[in-house]
Amino acid sequence: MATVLIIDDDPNTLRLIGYMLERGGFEVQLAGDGEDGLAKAFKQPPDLIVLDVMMPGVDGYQVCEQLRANPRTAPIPVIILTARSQRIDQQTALEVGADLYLPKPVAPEELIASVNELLSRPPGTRPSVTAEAPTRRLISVFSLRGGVGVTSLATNLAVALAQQYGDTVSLVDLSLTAGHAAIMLNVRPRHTVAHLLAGELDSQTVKEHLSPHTSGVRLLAAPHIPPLPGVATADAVERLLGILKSQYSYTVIDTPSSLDELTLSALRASDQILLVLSPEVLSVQTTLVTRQALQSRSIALDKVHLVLNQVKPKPALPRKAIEQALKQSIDLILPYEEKQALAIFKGEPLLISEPTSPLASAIKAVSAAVSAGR
Amino acid sequence: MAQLNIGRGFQVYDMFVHNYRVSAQVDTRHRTMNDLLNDKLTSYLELFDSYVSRADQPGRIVAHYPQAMLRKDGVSFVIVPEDQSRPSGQRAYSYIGRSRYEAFLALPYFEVKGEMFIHGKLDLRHFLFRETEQFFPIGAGKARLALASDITFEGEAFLVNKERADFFGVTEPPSMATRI
Repeated sequence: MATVLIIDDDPNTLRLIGYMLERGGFEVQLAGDGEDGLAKAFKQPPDLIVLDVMMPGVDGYQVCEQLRANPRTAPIPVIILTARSQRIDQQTALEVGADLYLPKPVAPEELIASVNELLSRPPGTRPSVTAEAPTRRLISVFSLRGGVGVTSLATNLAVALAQQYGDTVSLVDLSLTAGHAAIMLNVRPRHTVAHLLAGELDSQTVKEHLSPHTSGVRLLAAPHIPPLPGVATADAVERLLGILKSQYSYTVIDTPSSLDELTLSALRASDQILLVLSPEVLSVQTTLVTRQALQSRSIALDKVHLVLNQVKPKPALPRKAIEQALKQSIDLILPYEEKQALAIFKGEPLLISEPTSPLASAIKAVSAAVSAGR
Repeated sequence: MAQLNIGRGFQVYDMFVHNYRVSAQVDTRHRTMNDLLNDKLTSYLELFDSYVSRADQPGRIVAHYPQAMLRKDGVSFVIVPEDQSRPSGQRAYSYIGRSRYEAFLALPYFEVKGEMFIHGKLDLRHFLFRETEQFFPIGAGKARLALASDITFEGEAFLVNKERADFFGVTEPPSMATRI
C-alpha cells in the first residue's frame, strides 16, 4: 500500500484530505506544518506528498525546494494543493519542483486520480515548467443524436483542460448551423469559424479569429447565421485543425449531429473521439449505428470512447443493459446535475459555477483521462 | 492555510495594495466582499492569516502574519467570485436588460481590463462622481503588472477602487451597440 504524506497547517484540511486518501486505499501520514513535514519526509520518505503552500514558518514552496535538494526525497512526487489559484501560482509550484498543482477545493475523485496517476508514472518523468502539456491532442465530442449534452461536455471539458494547462486550450464549434458553445461560455465573438473557413488560413489569421474566455479557453465560435452551402470544405477543416494542433496543447471540437464531410474530416483528424449517449433506447440505437458508420468510413474505433451522460434524473436504461446492447463497456459516466440548466442559462460552465458538484468532478476525470491519452 | 472558524464566513481573497499581493482570510460574516469594502463605517478590513508577495514575484511568499489590518482606501483591487462582487441581495443571475462595456483602468502598478454590465447607458462622469460606492465590480477581470506584462491575474470578478483609478476608459463593442 502506497504511503502519502499530507502537509497542511489546517487540522480540518489535514483530516479531510487524509480521509479522502484513506478511502482511496492509501496509507496516510499527517504533518501540521512545513518543518514537521520535512522531518517526517527525511526520516521515512513516503511514496507521494500532498503539500499546502500558505503555511506559517516554512511555506510549501520552501518545503518543496528542500525536498528536491535532498537525494533521498528528490524523486518523491509532490502535489501542491493551494487556495492560491492564479496561473502564476501554478507556474511557481512547477518551478520549485512540484509534479502537479491543484487548486483548492479539490474533489476526492480528482485528488485520488491525480495521486494514482503520479504513482504510476515511471521515475524521472517530472514535467518541466515549459512542458506543462506533453502531447498535442485533438479531441472531438460527438453524437448523431441531439440533446445528449455534446456542447455542454465539449465546453466544460475545454474549461477543465484550461484549468489544468492554462491558455493552451482551444475549442472549435463546428456546428455551423446551430452552434451554442459561445452562449454556454457567455462569449460574444467578433469572428466565427465560418469567416475563417471561407478565407485564407494561416496561423496568424486563425489566432485573430479566436475569442478568449476567462477560463483561458480560446473559442472559435459557430456563426450566428448558417453559412451558404459550400462555403466551408473538408480540406479547410483539416487545415484549420492542423494549425490549431500546432498552436495549442489541446483542441476540443464540438461536432454537429451529422456525418457530413466536414464532421468526418474533424473525426479523422482527432486523436480521441468522445461518443456521447444518454441512457434511453433511441440514443443507444443511434450509438450502435454510429459506431458501424464510423468503422465503414475508416475511422479507427480504438480512439472512440463511450461517454454516458445522465441528462435526466432517472435513467430509462441501466448501464449494464446499454453495455450489453452495444457490446462495449462505457468508458465514462457523467451523473445528472440539476444545476446544469442554470449554468447554461447563466452562460457559466458548470466547472466554474459548481466546481465541486459530482458532474464537475466527473468532467475533470474525463479531462484527466484525455490528457493522459486514455 | 489555516481555516479559522469556517462557520463564521471566512474566505480567502487575493487583494492588491500598491506593489503587493496579499492573500488572506476575511470574515465576511455572511455578507459579500462588496458590502465590506463599501461599508463607510469602517476604514479598515481585518485580515487573518495573511501571506504577502511582491507583485513582481507574486508566487513567492515574503511574509506571513496571523493578524493584520488593511486600509481600504489603499486597496487597488480585490479578486472575488462573481457572487461576492455585488451587494447582498443583488446577485446577478442574468445580464438580460444590461448593456455590456469593456473597461480599462490604470491603477498603481497595474492595468485592469474587464467587463461592466450597466442598466441603461453608462455616464462615466455620473458613475465616478455621483455614485457613492467606492468599489465597483468588473466582470471577467484581467490585471497585468504594468512594468512586467507577463505577470497577470484573472478572476470571475474584480472589485476595483474608483479612487485608485488614474485612467478609466470604456468601450461599447460594435456587436453590443444595443441592449442585449
